[in-house]
Amino acid sequence: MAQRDVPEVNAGSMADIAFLLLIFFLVTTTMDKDTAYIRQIPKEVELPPDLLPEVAPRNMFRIKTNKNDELTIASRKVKSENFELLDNPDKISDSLVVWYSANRLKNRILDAKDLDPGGTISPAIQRLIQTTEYPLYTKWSKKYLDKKWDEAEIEIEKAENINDQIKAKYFLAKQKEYDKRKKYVDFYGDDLLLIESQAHVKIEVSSKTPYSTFVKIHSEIEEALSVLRNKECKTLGYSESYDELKRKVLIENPPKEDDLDKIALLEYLFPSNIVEVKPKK
Amino acid sequence: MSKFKKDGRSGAPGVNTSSLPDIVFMLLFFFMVATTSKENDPTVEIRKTEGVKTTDLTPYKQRSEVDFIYLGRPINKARQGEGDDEWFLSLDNVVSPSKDGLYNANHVGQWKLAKFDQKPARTREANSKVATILTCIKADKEAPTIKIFEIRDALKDVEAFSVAYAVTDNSTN
Repeated sequence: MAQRDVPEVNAGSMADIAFLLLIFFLVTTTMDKDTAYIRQIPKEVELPPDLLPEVAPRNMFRIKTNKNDELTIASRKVKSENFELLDNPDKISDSLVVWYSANRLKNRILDAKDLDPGGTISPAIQRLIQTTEYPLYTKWSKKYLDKKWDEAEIEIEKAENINDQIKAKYFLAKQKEYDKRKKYVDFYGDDLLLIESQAHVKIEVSSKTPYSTFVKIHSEIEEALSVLRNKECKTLGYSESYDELKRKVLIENPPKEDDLDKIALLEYLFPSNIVEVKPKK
Repeated sequence: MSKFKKDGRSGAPGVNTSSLPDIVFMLLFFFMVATTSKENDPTVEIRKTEGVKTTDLTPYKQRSEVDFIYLGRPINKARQGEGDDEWFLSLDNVVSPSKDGLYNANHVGQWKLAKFDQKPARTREANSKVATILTCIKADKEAPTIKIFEIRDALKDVEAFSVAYAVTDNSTN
């Protein structure tokens, strides 16, 4: 029997099919990446009234818009409600870097023990606290954190005895915070140098401020934080900068545990505490 | 004789197109990998703003952990209002959609919860609450911030605490 030839498949329309698919994907997809600033909306927390903190002016970096929707920052030279108009809004990040790092100089760092509410504060430290216009930095050793943890434990017991749920919760949150710090002390390898927990950037815009101005503020804050964290990377002797670490973590799947820890530490040392005040109508 | 003539007259040989599908498929795969699917066509006009050191939302999109809200002036000229009525939201997949696809901040809470129910089961299990799903606000550069804060308040009411302000990255490095 003669062998039958297998008929050849006509692949001439293959290109048409492929083109069709190609055009479908071109139309339904987009090339541009979505980038954004991620922020948290604050939850309403119940705080015991006697523990409500009073925020010292040194702990606020205030960015405000004026009548003409120009950006101003609270003047640090005069301790009052004076706001300075910046000739160039790009300078906000520079001022912010100064605000963050001014008291991080070696001779200005305080020991967390010095500020213990129960103890006496030495006159020299007292003077620094009263005169400084920038947030203070304190050193936290593991031993001191253990002590604070035990103190919080006593407070919890006290609160539970009088059935004060809000207070008990507050001190439980404190304990968690101390646990976290202990973890960071291990990773940092030394006493932890922390900014005051109250330190924050306060954004006060008017109701008509355009979105572009609002975003500009966030852009400046991110820029300042990036500068600070990158610098800290060098001090800590990391081979990559914060920006590089961030990019690496995004690409790698799964990201390295070590890199994630480094980022978490840097973000803890320079926290982005931002308060956005809702404008009045 | 005539046989030879015919052979001589035949035109240029046809181009071999058998590798054309391969080339087109290659292009297709490139675009499939390099692009992401569009969320929806907003009914409001968005002019972008720029900023530096932004966060890339691609990983959130891949895990479908982000919803997009658009804030701007309506594209439909007939619906363009004055003053306070000038700005509208564009939301996708609303349970009871409005005729022209324009909404205000009152719809945001309901929309956010409905979006969470529509998410793949995997995403819902990983984020047992709506709180961790990002809401990305894409606003026109002239949109007043009070509108942003209205959206924030609406999100806070449904306990969705993560927002993202969309911005085009223009970092130099």
